[in-house]
Amino acid sequence: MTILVAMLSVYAMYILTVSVMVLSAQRRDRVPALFVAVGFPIVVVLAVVHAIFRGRELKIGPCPHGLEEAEALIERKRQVMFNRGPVEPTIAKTWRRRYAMSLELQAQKARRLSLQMREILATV
Amino acid sequence: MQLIELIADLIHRNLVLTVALALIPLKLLMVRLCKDQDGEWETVMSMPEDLCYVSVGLLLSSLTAGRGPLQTYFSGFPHPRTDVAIILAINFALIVVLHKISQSWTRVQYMHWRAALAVRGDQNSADDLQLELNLSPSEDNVLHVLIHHLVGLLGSLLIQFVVVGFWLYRIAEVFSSR
Repeated sequence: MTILVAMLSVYAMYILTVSVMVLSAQRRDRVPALFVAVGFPIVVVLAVVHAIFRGRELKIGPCPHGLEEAEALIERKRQVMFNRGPVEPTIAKTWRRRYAMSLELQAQKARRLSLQMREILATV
Repeated sequence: MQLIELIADLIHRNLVLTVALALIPLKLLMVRLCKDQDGEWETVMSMPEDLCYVSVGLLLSSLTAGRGPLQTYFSGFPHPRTDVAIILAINFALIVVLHKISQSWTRVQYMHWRAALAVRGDQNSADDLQLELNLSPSEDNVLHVLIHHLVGLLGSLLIQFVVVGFWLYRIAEVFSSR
């Protein structure tokens, strides 16, 4: 019972903080943002449970065209808004690297499969 | 047991959590009353750290009392003073860790999220920078970056709250064991 109260208290503290943050910062799309913010811990728990019991590799799509430019634009805006030093944008770079890595892994799997197929066909 | 008695019992047994829960709306209310819009986000970001200071305050106040809950809890242990010192050291270490997370992760994500909101036309719709993004997929790209930073911000806040919540829960156990 006490642990449940503690967990609910943590969730209440989290909801209070993120609701204030989202409502004060966002003027447009407030309801979806609030929904994402409030439901985030539940999604995290479900994702962990899903990863444990039905662990599957995530499929990564190609990085959208123009993401790097959008990121650079947001970074410039951040510097203007908050008067802080530059931070290197990493989303597009990481996305490209991971996509390239996933393609490499797929190619490796295909290569292994073709070798196995060749061995099987050689024995027939 | 009546409902009011059940609630009172729960509050009494989880006094530290109740104090922590009361602190957040009070602090937000005070900042709102001061109309300090620039300082509001700083207040929100430092909330988990503040909760750690609440637990430090409780521990120190318990130490100053002659036979406080901390001494009572550790009285059966072979080295009570060392245990109390370890508890305090863990609490201070937790403050440092939370401060570092807040400085290097939460604030950076927050600033990027706000910048993405501004670029998306949420706050400054007549921004010149937006003219650079008049292509159709650009809105999606900004939304991608916005969601990425929002999720990063929520994740870092959640981690901090879970850590602080767990710590406060342990402290609450010490305080309710009298």
